Amino acid sequence: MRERIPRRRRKVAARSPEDSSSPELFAGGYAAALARLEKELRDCPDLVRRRLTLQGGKEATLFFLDGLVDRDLLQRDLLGFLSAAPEAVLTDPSSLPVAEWKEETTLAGAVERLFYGFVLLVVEEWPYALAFALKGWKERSLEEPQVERNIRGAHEGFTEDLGTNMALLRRRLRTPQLKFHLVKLGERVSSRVCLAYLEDLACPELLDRLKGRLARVDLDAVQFPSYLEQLTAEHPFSPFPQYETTERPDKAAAALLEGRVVVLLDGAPGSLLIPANFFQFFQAPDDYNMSWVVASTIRFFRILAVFLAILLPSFYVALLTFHYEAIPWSLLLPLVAARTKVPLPPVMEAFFMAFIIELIFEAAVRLPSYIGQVIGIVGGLVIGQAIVAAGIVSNVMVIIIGVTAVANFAVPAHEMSLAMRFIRFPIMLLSALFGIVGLLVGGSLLLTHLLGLESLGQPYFSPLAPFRPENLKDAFVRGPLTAQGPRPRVTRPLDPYRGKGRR
Amino acid sequence: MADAPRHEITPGQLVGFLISSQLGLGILGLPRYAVEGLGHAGWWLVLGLGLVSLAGIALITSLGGRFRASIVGINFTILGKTGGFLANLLVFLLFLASSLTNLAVYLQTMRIFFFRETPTWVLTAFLVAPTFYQITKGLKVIARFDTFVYLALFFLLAMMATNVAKAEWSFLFPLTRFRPENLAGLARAAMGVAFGFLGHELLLVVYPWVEGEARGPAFLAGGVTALVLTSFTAFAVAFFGEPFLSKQVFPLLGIVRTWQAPVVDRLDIYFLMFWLPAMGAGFTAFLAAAQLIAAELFPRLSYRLLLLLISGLVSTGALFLRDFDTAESVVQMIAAVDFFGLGLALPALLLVLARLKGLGK
Repeated sequence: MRERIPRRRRKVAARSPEDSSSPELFAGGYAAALARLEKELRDCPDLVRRRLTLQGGKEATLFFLDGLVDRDLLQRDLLGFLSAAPEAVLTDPSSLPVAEWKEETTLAGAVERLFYGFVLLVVEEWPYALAFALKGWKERSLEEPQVERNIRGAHEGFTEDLGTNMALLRRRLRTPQLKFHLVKLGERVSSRVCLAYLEDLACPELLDRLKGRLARVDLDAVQFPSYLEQLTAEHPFSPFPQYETTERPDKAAAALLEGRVVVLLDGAPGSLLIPANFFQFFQAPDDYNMSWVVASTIRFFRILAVFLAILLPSFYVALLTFHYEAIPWSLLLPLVAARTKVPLPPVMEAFFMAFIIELIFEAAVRLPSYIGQVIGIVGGLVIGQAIVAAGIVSNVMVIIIGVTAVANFAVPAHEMSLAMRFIRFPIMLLSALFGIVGLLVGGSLLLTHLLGLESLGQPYFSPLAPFRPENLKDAFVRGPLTAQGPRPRVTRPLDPYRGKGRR
Repeated sequence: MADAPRHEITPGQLVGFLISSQLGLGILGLPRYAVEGLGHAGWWLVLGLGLVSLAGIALITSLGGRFRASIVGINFTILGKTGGFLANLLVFLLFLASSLTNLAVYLQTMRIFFFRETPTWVLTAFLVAPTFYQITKGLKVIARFDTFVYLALFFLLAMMATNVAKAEWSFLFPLTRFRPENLAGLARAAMGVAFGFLGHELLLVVYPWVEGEARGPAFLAGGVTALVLTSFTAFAVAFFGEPFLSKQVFPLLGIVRTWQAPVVDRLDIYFLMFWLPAMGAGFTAFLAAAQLIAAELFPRLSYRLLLLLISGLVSTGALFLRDFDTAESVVQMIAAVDFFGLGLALPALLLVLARLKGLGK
């Protein structure tokens, strides 16, 4: 029985470059081929056409898109060669003065090459077009990612160009075991996605699972790596990130050495590290560039920051609303004194202050950095001071929310930090309604949610639950490198031990 | 076994699952029941029932090892279609009753210590929510959650260790002299103490979901529970003395209220923060067992719909057990039936029948 294709899908299917039913470019001859290309690329003012007459008198036309091609190379090396070379030389691949070239016979294939920075040569009486790789567009230099700064170690980051990003990985892992699997996604606009992995480490089953999920992605175009996460992760309704993201090649290379898969997207500097677990979001590259004792202490503080960021306001609200008998007298008296002029109950205070802080975050992020700093100072100091002076919020609450905000930023992964910002509001509400029991029930629901999450089918809360003691050395603390023998079990690596293996 | 991925648990997780289901709620009133039966030597009763619980574990693991199936499958194999269905229905109802009593005790504790004014239905819905969510995720997530019970256990042991100086150990002497008049109440006390050990019969349901050897971990869990409950009972007698202990509704919480530390003063709220999830874990384990049996008995019904029905039934039932004395009597009665009936008699009977009929390996 013929599979029923929805109308929209039928329409876009004809546009897919992979579709074998794409019209032959040269059916009807040279003039027809030119007409087809012109028609397909009508209203594209960036399309440049250059007519040539080859040695032997044949007519030819060069097509390229302005801004995607290196004009210097084109003018200096290719144009002169094409005008001077006999036709027999042109048909011999070894004599062409370019590193990469392709033969295209379909209209869709030829058009796609143009979009990827190729120069297309259409010659009279030829049954195919020649596409020369002369890519040359404005590219950002290798800069350290703004959100993943490092004190020691490398200071370069991925760029928007897939080729550059692949090269950055290749430069760090000079081994033939590093493989790149390219797939094209997007029904209307093709986007290149690259799966990088070490063949002798990455679990083939997980890799196949990921490929299968990517194959099911149904979008017009894939603009950001997070689209892939949202469409392929097991739990799309969870606020927690299920894939780790990074713009750092060193972090991506380290992930590859753990047996994980790195997903790169052409046009985006971010990459996805898959699978991921909860504790990996608290690891920073700097942790591995210092003494393990210091790194462990800092890692432990970061984990503590998670508890503070999620639970501190809720705990304060619960204690002050229901369980003030649990507060020592010496602390209770100043707390009561601070709250005597405040008309709002603790929960309203907390929500009000948290709301103000969220607004300050959003304003600071959207504005240029120099204005962002001013907003931070105005928001943090001026508004905070004024709110306390006006008696709307107590100074203790300002401290609590301030500590919460700082703790939130101690988390290296931005996406995890966002999830934590979101999750503290429902727990605050439960604490306000049911006190410490509300906090515990909220915490239990949160923990249950985390325990049920999976990343590419692997348990998210490992190595704590399921308990994998050999991987605890890089969870709450960063153990000495000599003790980091076992690779994380969530990646199910083909070689479970680092270095020469188990000694 | 279409649900296998979400129900399979490791032997290590089985230990946490069994300990949390036995300890969380069972420990609350246990010392009081023990001294009501045997006076100051009540800890012997706890130890004795601990050994009975281990015997139950031996029977259930033998049965499970023989058939490698849950009690539902075993009943059908041994008792046939009709007999098996009736037996399974009875087992299901007993687990349902156990989850009801667990919820009732949980609610009573919350009412006494935190929510005197909150309407019972609000409290019930609030406390059932995490359990409901956990069961929708499956046995695997429940067992992972239960591994955190070790934190609660650590706090319990820390509390006992730091309060050792406050205990009067001579209250335990003479160690082996039981007052004759208490022998008559021994059976009643055993019913109360049985509630403390309620949980080993969960093995009947979860046994086939354990990936690997279950016998050793089950014995370990039973041994740890017996040790903790016995030592805590002895500690409670030494802390309060027999007459005062028999007046304590929940001796554990009574001791916790006296626990103090420098700077923060009272530690009871922090102890409860760790113990409350353990209390919830007991209720969750029984409701999950009832749900698993129901899912196996009625495979055509949706898992979530069944869970909704069962949770609704248990929650409604708990609303009728608002009176503490009534609730306590019901809890003791059901605990005794479950402990001795489900945890001992049923596996023993099924083992005998299996051997007579030559069924299983």
